[in-house]
Amino acid sequence: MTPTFSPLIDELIERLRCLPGVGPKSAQRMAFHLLSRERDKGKQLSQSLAKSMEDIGYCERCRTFSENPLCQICLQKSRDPAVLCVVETPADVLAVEQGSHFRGYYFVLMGHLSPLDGIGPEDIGLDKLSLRLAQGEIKEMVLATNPTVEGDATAHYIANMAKNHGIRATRIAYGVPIGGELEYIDSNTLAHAFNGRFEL
Amino acid sequence: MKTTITLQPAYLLHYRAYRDTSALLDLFTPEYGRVSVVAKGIRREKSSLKGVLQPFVPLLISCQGKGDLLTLTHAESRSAVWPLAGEALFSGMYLHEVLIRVLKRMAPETEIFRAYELVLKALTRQYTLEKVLRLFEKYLLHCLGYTLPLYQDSQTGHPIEAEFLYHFDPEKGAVKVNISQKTELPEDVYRGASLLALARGVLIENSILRDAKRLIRRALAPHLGPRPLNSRLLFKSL
Ligand SMILES: [Zn+2]
Repeated sequence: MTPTFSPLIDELIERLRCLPGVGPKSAQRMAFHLLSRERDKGKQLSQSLAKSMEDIGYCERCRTFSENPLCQICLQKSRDPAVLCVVETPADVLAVEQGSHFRGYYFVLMGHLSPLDGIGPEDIGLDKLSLRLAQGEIKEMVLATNPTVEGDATAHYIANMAKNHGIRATRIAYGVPIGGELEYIDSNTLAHAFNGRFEL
Repeated sequence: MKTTITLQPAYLLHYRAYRDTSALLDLFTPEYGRVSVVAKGIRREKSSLKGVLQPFVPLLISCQGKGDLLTLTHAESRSAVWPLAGEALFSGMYLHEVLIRVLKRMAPETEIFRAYELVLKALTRQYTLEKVLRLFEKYLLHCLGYTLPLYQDSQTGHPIEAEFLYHFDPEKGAVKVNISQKTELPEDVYRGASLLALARGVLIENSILRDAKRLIRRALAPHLGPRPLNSRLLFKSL
């Protein structure tokens, strides 16, 4: 990328490129847009970004993103503590929240088992999940990992853990295209998928 | 050197996200062995290849380029995905980890490819997984040029006898030893019955399967490198 007239702008453009789908051209457009028309919003963005990057960690219970020890969902008392939905990413939590009538709690793996990439059970928090299952409150698990080979393998592994704790485990299956990612599936499909889940 | 591969049968061994919308794939083909390609745009929401470029899907692929990393130009499925589930799925992942370690890039491996496809088929049936895996590993060693010398006592030339014990070295072969059968056998000592069963490919009893696993694991180790196989650890904790 050819340098502009300002090293600081060059740096901003370069930094913006870490966002998904942002190439040099759109990064440049964003930088100029903020500088020429949206100074205040730009400042708010930078503050929010700095605070988020600094303060957001992981929920102690479900492992999703949270700036507090427990996330907003884990804090909701109205949910059914006997049902736990296991998903791969925080985006999947939102997808299930928006696309289904699921009213239990979540566990977020932040990935999936992938031996070839050296990602094992502890890397996706299964040691933590096992402790939670041992507490005895959970009676049913919905395994909503992605319908990929790794997602299936992860679901199978967790289903085994569930069996060892005498917990019923179901896997969502219906209508989710192979190789698809939950985040990108429209709400209808997902609602359907939840209705059609089956026992592992 | 420019390489052009046209409509070659293939299986996906490993998939890694690359840049915003692309992926780096390790493919197994009969005529070119392991081929690494970049699949551009495959992670776009609307990409039609997303569902096709999955492990255990019989593929036809075309790619071209220079050096070790080619560009995928075409991919389609030859037939339906082998429906591996549960432990068979883990076995499949194990096979992939082994293949990634032993296959060379751009070297034909038609026999291994054919055997791999047969194993996938077997893994979808009700066969004993361990048996299928051991026989594949034995054949893999053979294809790599390390046929297990299972048929005779390498010192005397006598046939292996079921009731004797043998010290077995994957390269030098079997040598009869005189130790008590009652104590636990040393790591590299096997019952003649196990060697014969492995030679004939008849792995039925559990004790023989255990011996075969021990023997083949030792024989395969030098070809897999120093790092432990992650899928093996996963299998153990399953
Ligand atoms: Zn939480």
